Amino acid sequence: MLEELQGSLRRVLSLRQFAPFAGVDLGELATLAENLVETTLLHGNRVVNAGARMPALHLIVDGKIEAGGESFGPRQMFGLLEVLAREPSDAQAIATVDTRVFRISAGDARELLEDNVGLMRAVLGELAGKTLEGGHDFGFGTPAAPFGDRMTLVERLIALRQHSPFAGARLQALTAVAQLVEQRRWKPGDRLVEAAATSETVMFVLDGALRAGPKLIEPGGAIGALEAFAGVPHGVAVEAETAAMTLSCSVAALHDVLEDHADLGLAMLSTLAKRLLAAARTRNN
Amino acid sequence: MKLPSRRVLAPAVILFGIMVAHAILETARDALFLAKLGPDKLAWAYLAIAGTTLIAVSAFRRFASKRDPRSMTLGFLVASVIGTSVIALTITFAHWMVFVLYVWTGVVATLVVPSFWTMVDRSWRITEAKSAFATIGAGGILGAMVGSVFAALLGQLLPATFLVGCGAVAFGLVTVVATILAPRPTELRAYRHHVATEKNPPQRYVRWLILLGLVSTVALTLGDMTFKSTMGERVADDDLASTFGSIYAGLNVIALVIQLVLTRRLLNRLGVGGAAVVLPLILIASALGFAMTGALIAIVALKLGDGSLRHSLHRVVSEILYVPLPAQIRDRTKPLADAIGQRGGQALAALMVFALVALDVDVRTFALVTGVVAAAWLATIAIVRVGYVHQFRDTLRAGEIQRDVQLPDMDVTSIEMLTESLSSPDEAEALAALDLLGRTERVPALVLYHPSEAVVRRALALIARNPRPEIARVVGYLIDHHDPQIRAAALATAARVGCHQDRVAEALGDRHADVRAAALVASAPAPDRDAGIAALVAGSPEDRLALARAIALAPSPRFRGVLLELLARREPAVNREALRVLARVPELVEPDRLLGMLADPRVRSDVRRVWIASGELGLERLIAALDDPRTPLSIRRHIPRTIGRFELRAAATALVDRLMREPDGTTEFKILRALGRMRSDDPTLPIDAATIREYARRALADAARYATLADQLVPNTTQSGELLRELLDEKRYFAVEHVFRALDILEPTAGLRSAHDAIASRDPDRRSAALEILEHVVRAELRNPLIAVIEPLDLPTRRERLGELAAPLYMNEHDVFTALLGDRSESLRCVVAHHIAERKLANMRPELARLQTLDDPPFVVDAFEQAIARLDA
Repeated sequence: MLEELQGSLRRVLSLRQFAPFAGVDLGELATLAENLVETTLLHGNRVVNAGARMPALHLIVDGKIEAGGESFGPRQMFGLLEVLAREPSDAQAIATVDTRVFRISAGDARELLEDNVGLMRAVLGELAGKTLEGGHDFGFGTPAAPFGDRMTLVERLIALRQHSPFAGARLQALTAVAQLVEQRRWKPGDRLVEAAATSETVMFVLDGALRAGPKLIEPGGAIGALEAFAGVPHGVAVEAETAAMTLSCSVAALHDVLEDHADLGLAMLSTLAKRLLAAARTRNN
Repeated sequence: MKLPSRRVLAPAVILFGIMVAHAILETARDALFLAKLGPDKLAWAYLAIAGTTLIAVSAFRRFASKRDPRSMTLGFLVASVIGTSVIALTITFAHWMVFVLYVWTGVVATLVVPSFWTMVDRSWRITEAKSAFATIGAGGILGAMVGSVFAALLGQLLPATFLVGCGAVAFGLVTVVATILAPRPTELRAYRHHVATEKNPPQRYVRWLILLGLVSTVALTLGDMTFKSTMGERVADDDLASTFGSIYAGLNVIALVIQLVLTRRLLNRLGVGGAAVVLPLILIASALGFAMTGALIAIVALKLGDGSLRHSLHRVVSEILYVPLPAQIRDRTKPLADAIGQRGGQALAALMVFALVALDVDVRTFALVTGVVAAAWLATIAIVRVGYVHQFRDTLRAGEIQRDVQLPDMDVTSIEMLTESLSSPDEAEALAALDLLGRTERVPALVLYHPSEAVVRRALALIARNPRPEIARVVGYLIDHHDPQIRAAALATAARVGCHQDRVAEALGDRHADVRAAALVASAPAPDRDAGIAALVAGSPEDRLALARAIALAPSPRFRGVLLELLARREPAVNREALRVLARVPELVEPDRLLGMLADPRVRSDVRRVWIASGELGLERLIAALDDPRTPLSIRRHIPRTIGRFELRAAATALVDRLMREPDGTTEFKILRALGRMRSDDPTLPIDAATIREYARRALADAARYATLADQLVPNTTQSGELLRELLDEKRYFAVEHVFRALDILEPTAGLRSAHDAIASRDPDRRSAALEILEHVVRAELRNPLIAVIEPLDLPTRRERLGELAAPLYMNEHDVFTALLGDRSESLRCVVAHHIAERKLANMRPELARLQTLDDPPFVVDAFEQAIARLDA
C-alpha cells in the first residue's frame, strides 16, 4: 500500500516535469499517473515498426527513442501525434539506450483526454504551439459557398460540419458551436485583429480573403484558434483583403463547449496531429 | 415459432444423448441397488461416490491443463462406454458389483455432465446464455425423460441387469454424435486481471459457488433420501424398476414443460438471482410443511419441486453463475467445483444421515433438517448474487481506464522523497516537487538557496503565506537578489516576520514595480503609500500584476477596495493573483462581482476556490443565483459544479431540488454531473432518492420518445434528412446517458457509469456484462424500458417493451414532423424546420406557424421564419 502510494506520487512528480503538464490540475495528473504502466525499453528494443499502428503513447522518463532521424528524450512524449491522429508510424522507432517510459495504450490515452478537460487543454495547447511554430494553419476545409446573409442554425451547422476539425465531432457539440458563432461581413481594409493582441475571438472564414502579414487566409481558414489554445498573442494584425464573411465566437465560449463536449476537443486534437504529421512528412521528403 | 440455431441445437442433441444414457443407467442402478442392497446402504454409496470422484477429479485437473473442454468431454464419454460395458458384463457375478455400478454411475455423471457444460459455457455470453441454456437444458431433460420411459418399458420386459448394457450402448452412440457435433474450442476471451484481483478475486467467487453447490446438494440429497426410503418401504422389490421409471418419466415431463415454458421467462423476469431462489423456497416450504404436519402430500411436493426444477431451472441457473468467470479460471475450476459441490454434498448429506440415524430420529426430523439446510442454501444465494454482479463489474472495469483518481495524502516517506527532489539542480524537477509539497505547507526554507530563480520565486510565494521566524536569515540574503520578484517576495516575508524593516522603507523608491509594490503593501497605511498604490492601479498591466502579487504575499482587509478595482479590469493574470488573495481572506469577497467572474474560463477555477473559501454564505448566494431566472446562462451553467465543490448536504439538496425545474438543458446536465461527482467522492452523502428516480424516469421517457420517433421516421437522403436521423439518435444516446448518470447518483458504487460506457461500446462481452449489471442493480420499472431503448428492436416490439413510456404511434410523416416541431429540444426543432423547407412540404406550413412561439430563442425563431419563407417562395 505504502509502495503503491509512493509509486503514484513519484509518477505524478515525473509527469509534472513534462512541459505541457506544468499547469495541469494535480488531480487530473494523478488520474493519468494511475493509468500508466512504467516500463524499461532495453537498448535496441523496437517500440514500433514502420507502417504499424502506434500501440501506445510513451512518456519518456529517461533515455532516448529514435524514429526516422528524430530523437525523443526525457520529458518528451513519443507517439502522441500518431495516437491522436490514429495514423500509423512512418518510421521504425528504437530505444537507442535503456529507456524508462510511462506507457499508456492509444485507446486509453484518448479516453483519458476525453475525460479530463485539463489534460486535453494542455495537449491542445502543446499541439497548437507546435502548429504555430511550424507556420501551419488551423484551416477547416473549404466550405461550400454561397452563404446567405442570415444563416440559420442548421446552415451554420452544415457549414461547420463539412470540414475538419468539426467533422469528427458529435452533432450536439456542433450545435453548441453553431449556436455560439456569429456571422459577420467585412469590408476590404477592415482590421479584424491587432498585432500582439490577446486572442479573444476565433474566426472561421466562409467567404473572401483576409491578410495576416504575408499570408492570405481564404475560405476554410481560421484565425485566432491556435493562438487561443496555445495561450499566445497574435503574431501579426489581420485585415480583410477583400469583402469577407466569417463565423466567429469568443474563445471563452469555445472553451466552455470543449469542457462540455470532449469529443469536439478530441476532433480538434486529431486535426492538429494530422496536420503536424503531414508537415513532418513533407519536411522529410 | 423460430427454431433454435445449429449452435444451440448441437449441444442440445449431445446433452439429450448423454441424459438418455444416464437415465437408463440410473434406473438400472436404483432398481438393482434397492432390490439387492436396500436403502440403508445408500449413504455408503454416496460416500464412496464422493471419494472416487475426488480421486478422479484430482487426476482430471492434471489432465485439464493440457486439454480443452471438448477433448475432455469426448474423453470422458469414451471412458463411460468402456467402464459401463465392463460392468454390464460383470454385474451378475456378485452383489457388490451393484454397489460398484452405483458408484460408477455417480462418477460418470459428475465428470461427463460438468465437462459438457464447461465446453458449452465457453462459447456464450450471458445474455445469449439465458435463452440458449434453457434450450440446451431442455435437450437434457427430454433425454432423461426418453431414457426413463425407455428404461421403464424395458424394465417390465427384462431384468434390470440388462439395462446396464443398454446404457453402455447409449453412451457409445452419444460419443459418436458428440465427436461430430461438439463445438470446437473458441478463442479465450481477453481478461485483464489487474482490476479483478484487487477486491473481488474470481477465486473467492468460485469458493462461494462451491459452497452453493455443496449446500444445495446436501439439501436436495436429504430430501431425496427421505423420498426414496418411503418408496423402498411401500413398493415391492419387483416393481421398483418400473415404478421408478414411471415416476422419473413423469417428473421429467413436468421438468421439460418447465424448461420449455418457464425457465427462460423466469430468468428474464426474475434475473439469475431471483430464479435461483425458487427451488430452495419450494424445498423449505415443503420440508417444513412435512416436518410440522407429517402429511404425505408435502413430501410428494418436495420431490415434485426437486424432480421438476433440479434439472431445469436449477441446472441452468447453476451454469449461468459460472458465465462471468474468465474462461481460463472457469475451465480449471468448474469440474472440481461441480465435483466437490455435488459429490461432496452427497457425502456430507450421507454423514448427516448417519448422525441422524444414530440419534434415532424420525423422518419428520429428517425433513426439518432438510428445511434448515435449504434456508442456508438461500443465504448462500444472497452472497453469491453479490459476487456474481461483482464479477461482471470487474469485467467492465478491467477494460477501461481508472477515472477520477485523487492525489494521495502524503506520509513522511513521501515528503522525504519530494524534499529530496527539491534539492535537485534540475529546475523542472524542483518545481514539480514544490507543486506537490505546496499542498502540505511543509516547504523547507533551504530551498530558497536553490540556483533556479523560478524555484525560489515559487518557494517564496508558498512560504510567504505562513512565514516561520527561522527564515529571517535566508530572507536577508534574498532581499539583495538581482531578480525583482524574488526581492519583492523577500521584502514581503521580512515584513511579516518583523525583520529587515529598514530595507522595506528603502524599497519604496525601487525602480522595479514588483519591489515597489511589495514595499507599499508591507508599509503601514499613510497618504503617500496610498498614492503609490493608486499609481500602480492606474499604471500598466505589469504594474497592476505587481501590485496583485504583492497583496497576495501579504493579504489584508485594507486592500479590499484595491482588489475590487483590480478585478474590474478583467486582466486574467491580475485577476488570478487577486482571486488568490480572496481565497485566503474570503471576508473581502463581493459575491455579485464574483458570480459574474464564473463566466470567464481563464479564471474560473480560481473563482471557484474563492467561493469554497467563502463557506456557507457563499453557498447560499450560489443557490439563490441558480434559482434566479435572471442569472445569465453564461454564469448559471457554471454554478452547479461550483456548488458541487462544497461537498455538503445542503449543496446536494439544492442541486437535487433544482434538477427537475431547470429549464436549460446544459445546466441540467451539469447539475447531474456535479451530483454524480459528489456522490462518487462520498457515497454516504444523503440525497433525495425519490426525486432522482423521478428524474431518471423523465429522462427515460425522453429516450423512449426519441427512439420511437426515429423508428417512425421515413428514411430520407437529403442532407437535412440525414442530419435529422443522426440528431435523433444522438438525442436518444444523451437521454440514455442522463438516465445512467441519475442511476449512478442513486447507486454510486454499482459501476453504472462503466455499464453505460460498455453499452455504448462495440464490445459484445462488455455490453453483455453491462446488461447483467443493470438487471441486478436497477429496478424493473426503469430497467425494462431502459433496455428497450438501448437494444436494436423493431417498432412494435420496442413499443410493447416500453409500456406506458412508449411515444404515441403517429399515423403519417406529417404527424411525426409535427411532434418533432413541438419537441423540447431547440436544435431538433430547427433541424426539422429546415428539413421541411428543404423538402418543400407545403402541408407543414400551418404547423410551422402554429408551433413557433415568441418565447423561443432567436435562433429558433429564425429557423422557423426562414423555413416558412422558403415554403412561401
